Amino acid sequence: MKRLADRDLLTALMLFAVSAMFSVGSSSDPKDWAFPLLANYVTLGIGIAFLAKFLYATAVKHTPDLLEMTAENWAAAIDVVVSLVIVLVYLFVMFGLGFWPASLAMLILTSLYLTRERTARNIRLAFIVPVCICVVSYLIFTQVFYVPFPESGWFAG
Amino acid sequence: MQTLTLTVFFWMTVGVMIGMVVGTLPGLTATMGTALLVPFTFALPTDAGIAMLGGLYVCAMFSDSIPAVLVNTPGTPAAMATAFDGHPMVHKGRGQEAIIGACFSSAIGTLFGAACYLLLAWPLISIALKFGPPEFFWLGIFALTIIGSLAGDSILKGLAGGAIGLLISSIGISHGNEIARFTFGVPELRGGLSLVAGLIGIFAIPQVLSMIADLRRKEFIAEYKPVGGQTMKTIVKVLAHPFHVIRSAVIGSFIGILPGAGSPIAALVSYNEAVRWSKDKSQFGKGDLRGVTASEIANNAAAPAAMIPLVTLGVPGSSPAAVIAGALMLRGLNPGPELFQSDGSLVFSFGWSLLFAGIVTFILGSLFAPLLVRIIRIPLRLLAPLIMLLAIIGAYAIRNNIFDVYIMLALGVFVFLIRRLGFHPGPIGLGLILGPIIEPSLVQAMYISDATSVWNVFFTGTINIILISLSVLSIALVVWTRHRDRMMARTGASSVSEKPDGPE
Repeated sequence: MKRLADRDLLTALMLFAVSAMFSVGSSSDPKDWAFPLLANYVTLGIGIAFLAKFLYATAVKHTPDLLEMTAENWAAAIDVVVSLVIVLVYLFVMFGLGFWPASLAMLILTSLYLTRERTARNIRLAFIVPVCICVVSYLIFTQVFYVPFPESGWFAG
Repeated sequence: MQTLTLTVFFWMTVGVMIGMVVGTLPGLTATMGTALLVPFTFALPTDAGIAMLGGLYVCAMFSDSIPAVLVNTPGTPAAMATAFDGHPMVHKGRGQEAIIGACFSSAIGTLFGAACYLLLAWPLISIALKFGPPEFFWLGIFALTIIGSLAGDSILKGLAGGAIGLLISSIGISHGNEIARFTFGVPELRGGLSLVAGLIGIFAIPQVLSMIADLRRKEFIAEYKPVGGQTMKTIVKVLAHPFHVIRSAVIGSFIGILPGAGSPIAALVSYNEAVRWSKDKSQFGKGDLRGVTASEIANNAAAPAAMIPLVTLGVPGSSPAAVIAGALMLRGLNPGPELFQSDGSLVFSFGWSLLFAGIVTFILGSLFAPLLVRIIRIPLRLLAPLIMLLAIIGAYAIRNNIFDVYIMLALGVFVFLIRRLGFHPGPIGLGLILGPIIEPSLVQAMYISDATSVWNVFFTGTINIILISLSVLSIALVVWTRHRDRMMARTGASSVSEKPDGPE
C-alpha cells in the first residue's frame, strides 16, 4: 500500500492524466493534429516508461522512492491551501468590490495569516505594506499604463 | 555620430528609465511598453521619439532579469533562461553579482547588436532571408534540445515537461485548417493561452507557493550581505570568458535578425550553447554566472538586431520592432530600403541611440543593483502576497482578461505539485515558448512538402543540415555527458566503498 506513494508511479499516473486530457479531437487533415499528437505520444511513452520502472522496482523489491509527508510538510501544505483559498475568494469578490479594494483586502488577509510572530510591529507592517503596494500599483498600472481593472459591481451606480 | 543629438540622447534615456519599470513588472512586456509609449512620441521629433522607443526596448531586455534573478519570475519571456542560474545565485548569497552580471552582459549584448545594425546590416540580412518554415522548424527543435541542460536529475522528466509545455501551447485554433483544439467547451480557450500569463503561472506561482511552504523554516528568500567593489569584480568575471561572450553575442544578433524568432529563442539557444561548450557543466542550473551572461548577452543583442530586417527590408524582427515600424509609418515613413535613401540620418541616429541605450542601461543598472537586491531581505510573509498580486495583475494586464488569471493560477498549482515529483518548470516553459514557433513552421513546411516531398523540404538545404547536425550533436552530447557522470559517480562510490576504514 505504501508503494502507491512511489514517485515513479505518481509520475506515470500524472503523465497518463495529461495524455488523456490532450487525446480528444481529430480531423481529416493530419496537419491540424500532427504536432500535438507527437507531443502527446512522447508524454504517453514516458508515462509508460515510468510505470514499467515502478513495476520492475516492485518485482525485484527495490527500495521505493516514496513521496513522504512529515508533520512539518502537512503544516506547510495547510498554509499553501489557506493562501490559495484567500486568492480564489479574492478572484470572486473582485467583481463585487472592485479590483483595488479586493486586492487590498487579499494582501492584508494573506499577510496577517502568514505572520507567525504577532507582535504589534509585524501586524502594523501587515497593514501598512499592502496599502503602500496597492497605492503604487494603482498609480503605475492605471495612471501610467492605462490597464482597465474590474470595477465594483455591488456598489455601481 | 553627429546624428545623435543631445535631444535624442535625452529622450532615449527617458525611454531607458521607463523600460526599467516595464521589464521589472511581470506581465508588462517590451511590446506593451513600446505600444503604450507611441502616442507620447508624437510630441517629439521623429529621431527622438524612435530613440525613446528603442531605449525602452533595450532596457526592458535587461530589467526583465531583475525579477527573474531575485524571485525566479521572468519579467518577460526573454528572461526565462536568466532565471535558471540567476535565482540559484541569490540562494548562494550572490544576488548582487547576478544582477550586475546581467546588467553588464546586457550592455555587451546591446553594443554588439547595435554594432551589427550599424555595420553589418546588409550582409547579415542576406543570410536571414534564407530561413523559411523548415529552417525555423529545425531552429525550434535545436532550441528544444536545451531540455538536456534543464532536466535536472531525470532526462525523461525533462522531456515529459517539454512535451507538456508543447501540448499546452497547442491549445486554441490550429494553424492548418483553423479548427479549435483542446478547448474543452470553454470559448475563452479558442484564442489560445496567453504566453505571458502561462509563464507567470509556471514560474511565479510555484515560487510564491514555495515561499509560503517554507515560511516555517526561513524568514527571507536568502541571506544578503553587500559586497564592496562588486561591479568591477563581476565585470572581470564576465570578461574572463571572452569566447563565451562573443559566442553569446553572435547567437543573439543572428537570431534577432530572424523575423519571428526574437529574444526568448536567442536567450535559450545561447544558454544551451554555453552549457554545451563548457568544460565544467556541473554548475549550470545551480548558480553559474555564465548561465546568466549567456542568456542576457543574447537577448539584448537580439533587440537591436531585430531592427536590421526592419530598416533593410521593412520586416520587423520582433514584436517591439513591429511597434516601432508602426510608429514610423504613422509619421509617413516607410521602413525598408527607401528609408536608407530618404532618411539615412534617422536610420543611423537610431542605431547610435540603441548603442548608447546599452551604456545608459548599464550605468543605471549598476547604480540600482545594490538597492534592488535588497528585495530579498523583505520578509517572505510580506513578499509572497506582493508577488501573488503582481502575478495576478501581470496576467490580467496583458489581455485584460480574467480568464488568463484563472489559467495562470491553475498552471501554477499544477507545476507546484509536480515539482514534488522531480519536475523542473524550465522545460515546461521552454515548450510553451517554442510551441508557437515550431508548430506554425511545421504546418507551413508540410504544406510546402505537398508540392514536393517531405525529404526535400525538411532534410535538404545547407541550413537544414547544419541545424539537424547541431540538434543531433547536442542530444548526443547530453547523453554522453550523463553517461560519463553516472560512470564517474559509480567509480567514485566503489572507490569509497573499497577504501579501508581508518582515521580521517
